[in-house]
Amino acid sequence: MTEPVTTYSCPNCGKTYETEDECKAHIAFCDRTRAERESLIGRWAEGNHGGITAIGRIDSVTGNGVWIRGLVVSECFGRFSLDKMPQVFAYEDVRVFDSVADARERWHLAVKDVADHLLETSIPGVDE
Amino acid sequence: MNRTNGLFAPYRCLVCYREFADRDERDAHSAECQALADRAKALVGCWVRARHGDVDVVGKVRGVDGPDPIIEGLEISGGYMVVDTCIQIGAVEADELVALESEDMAAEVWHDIVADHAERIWNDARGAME
Repeated sequence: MTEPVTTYSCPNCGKTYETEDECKAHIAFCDRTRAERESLIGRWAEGNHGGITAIGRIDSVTGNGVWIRGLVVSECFGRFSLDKMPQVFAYEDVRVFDSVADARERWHLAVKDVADHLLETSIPGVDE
Repeated sequence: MNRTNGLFAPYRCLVCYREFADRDERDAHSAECQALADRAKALVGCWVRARHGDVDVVGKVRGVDGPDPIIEGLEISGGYMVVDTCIQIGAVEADELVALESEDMAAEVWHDIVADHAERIWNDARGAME
């Protein structure tokens, strides 16, 4: 018979640990992050998650990630999409902007980065 | 026998194969269609900007299909951006297919087009974000 393995999980983000101490240390960090992010609700922000960049306003917090309501730049098989999304979950690199003008500028820069990337990786033969 | 919408349509445009019930109508259309095809053929190998509706393309004309140029390059439409080797765009108005002088100019035009699309998307979404 296999011995049951005890694991400890964070109530915020669900991450699991083998020891209680490790888990407690993480929970303290996760609680702080969550509290910081809850204080940002309503602010203009950028968040990244799995290669998706979201720019808009922070709507709510789940775990220690934020939900952003706004615009998204994403890539799927070389096809870049610029979308309006009611909610995008962002966990990594959440940073807030001082104003809507800063958010708008960042949106344009994010789109320009994609336009640059497409120009640089343009199909062979186009420069012949 | 050719039929269009249930009507007898014996006349076809020799460029785009569209069918017409009336010969004069077909001839008038064919002349316009041939002019478009000639214009597109004259641009083979050139950098161009092409636009039709919400579709914007910047690239090199590689060939022609009927009156439409086949372009190898970059496309943005409906919020999607792609690199494609074979973009067929029905550039039906003269100002929708424009020759560009150089690759640098094509890059500049591409950036301007993308910025316009980004601004439009931002403005459309602004209300929902606030």
